[in-house]
Amino acid sequence: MRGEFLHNKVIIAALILALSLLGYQVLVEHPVRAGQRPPCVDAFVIVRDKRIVLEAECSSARIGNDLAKARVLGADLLLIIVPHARMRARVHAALNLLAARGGQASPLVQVLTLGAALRWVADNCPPVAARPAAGAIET
Amino acid sequence: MNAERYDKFFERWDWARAHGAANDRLGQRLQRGLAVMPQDSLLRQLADSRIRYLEQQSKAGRLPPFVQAMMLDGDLVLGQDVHGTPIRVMLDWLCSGLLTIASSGSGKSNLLYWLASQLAWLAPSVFLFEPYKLQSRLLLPIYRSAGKPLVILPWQQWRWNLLQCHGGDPRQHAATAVDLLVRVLDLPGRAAAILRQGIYFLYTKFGLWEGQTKHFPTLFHLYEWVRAQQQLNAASRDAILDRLGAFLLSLTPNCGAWIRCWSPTELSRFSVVFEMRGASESVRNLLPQSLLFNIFNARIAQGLVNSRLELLLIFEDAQRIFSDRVTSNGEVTPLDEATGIVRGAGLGIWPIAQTTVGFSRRTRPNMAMRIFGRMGCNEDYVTLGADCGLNSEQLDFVRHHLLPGTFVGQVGLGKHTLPFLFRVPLARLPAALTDAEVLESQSPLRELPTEFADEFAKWSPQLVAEFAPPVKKTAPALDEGDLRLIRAVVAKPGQSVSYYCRQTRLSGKRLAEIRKRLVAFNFIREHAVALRTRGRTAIVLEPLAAAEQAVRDNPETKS
Repeated sequence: MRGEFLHNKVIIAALILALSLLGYQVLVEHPVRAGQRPPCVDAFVIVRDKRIVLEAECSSARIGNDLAKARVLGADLLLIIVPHARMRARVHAALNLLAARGGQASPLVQVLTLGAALRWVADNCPPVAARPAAGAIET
Repeated sequence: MNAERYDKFFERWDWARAHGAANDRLGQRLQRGLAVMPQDSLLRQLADSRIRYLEQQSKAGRLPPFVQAMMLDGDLVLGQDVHGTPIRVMLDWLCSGLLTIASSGSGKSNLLYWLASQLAWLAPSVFLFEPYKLQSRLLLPIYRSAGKPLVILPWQQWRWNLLQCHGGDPRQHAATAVDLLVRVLDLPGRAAAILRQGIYFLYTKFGLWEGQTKHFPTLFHLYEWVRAQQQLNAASRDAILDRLGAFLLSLTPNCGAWIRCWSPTELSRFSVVFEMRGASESVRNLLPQSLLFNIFNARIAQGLVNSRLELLLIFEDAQRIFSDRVTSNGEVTPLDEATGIVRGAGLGIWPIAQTTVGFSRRTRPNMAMRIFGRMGCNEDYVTLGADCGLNSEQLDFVRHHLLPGTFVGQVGLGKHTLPFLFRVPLARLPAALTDAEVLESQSPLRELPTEFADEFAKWSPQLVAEFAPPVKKTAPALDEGDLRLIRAVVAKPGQSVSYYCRQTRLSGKRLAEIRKRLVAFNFIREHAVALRTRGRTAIVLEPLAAAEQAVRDNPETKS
């Protein structure tokens, strides 16, 4: 998986574990289009027929890319998970700047710290019934 | 009445003889006849016709008011007097110094060529320093036909090292070198102390104090030493680095980075034309002066004996080396001192300059022989006229009647010390030399032992930024608490500190100390992550390669 220790082993791993325990099939490093070396999102999951893209970010530099990828995938929700509250403020500022510049319609975006993201998963992702425990699938 | 006429006649005849009336055979016979028969009317009539002719010439202003120089013995022919009689000087008189002053176009180079070409057939070697021209190299065919080697040495091909002692006392040599550097590069006074310190250090490093005489430090070594000393006085250090750096840049390593260069003793076996054309001002000053000092010191150390002329040093455009810049303050430079005492050491000095303005006032009195031609300013005529003892009539004559190639000479040695007029024959210069001939003339020097400092082959004074990796701290020995934490982090990375507290059973304070130390020595890395919806961010630990290695090196022993 791309990314450093914090990105892969702490943030994404915690979310994948949480969603997997609830029975969801999480697609890790899911490509947004066909072809050689396509851009990928960190994780993709379908919850209650809603397409949710999960992106972990340790800086606000690639927020525009994340939005574009989510748009291509036709995501209903883009969850951007950041390590701490200071980074969340920076990501919000980046999103406001992008919104001010205008452009295409973007999906719903939520910026959460890891703890808040885990709480969101617990609140919004009901356990999937009668389904064998599925691990994360890496594409 | 006859006695009165007798006295006046012979007075007039003596004056006429002084102007060459008795130079030819008839005149000599007349002189002998009058000596035997002073009253003979025929002899007197013949003599009187000559006297009247000369008196008419004198009244018309065509007769130079100079006594004929009866200098008929000597190895060197200066030229011809107005009557065509050669004027000769003894070769050893050149040990007392010969000064030539004449303005541009008056025939100085012709005089130089005339005398230097005679030296090809005589014993002494010649060192000729040419700051601008490439004319003296045309002496090569003459020296070749005389069977004497003449080396044409452009300054770029000179193998030079100011700090080489050449067999002398290193301490004295260091003092001379520092003095030269400070004067030529115009360094501040404090710089001299720094340079002395540097040279002392380098001499110690090269073992010179213990008697090592094969290898010597160069000015490039000195520059690098100064550059490395950050703690020196900043202003002096910068002055040295700027000026010495600029000097070394113009000198080039090819000329100055020789840990063993040609010694003056070895060079003085040959006649050499040192061509300084294209050199910077500092190079043009320092290289010849350093050679001079080395030669002087070597000769003086041999003891002052009235030896014959062995080496004649000729300087064109001599005012840059024998400069008045220092002596105008009343100081005596080491060069002026040396020119005053090398007479007995077999060295002759012949400075050639265009004017006395700017020429060292301390050196001029040490030149026993003086030659001057057409000059450009009144100060020169007055100065040299006084030095040579010209009367007002003679001075007036030289102001208006000196032609190119005609000079006034005065020799303070020998029997004839009055000023005299002479003409130098026009020298016919051979065709220009090829580069191959110039290179071939240097072959005797290439056989001399030298050694180049390869480390300075591509030297540059520009400072470069050196990016050195940070100093690696040596990891301390890991104690039990450190190992416990490392093992816990490696076993389950990415957990919070409170988790590791529980796992390792270490207190929070102790774990914080251990954690800080391990982070400092790159065993683990910390990340701040908000693991909860509220509250402070947690510290999550990441194991690094050193931690994994430490776990492998310290396997847990289960009791």
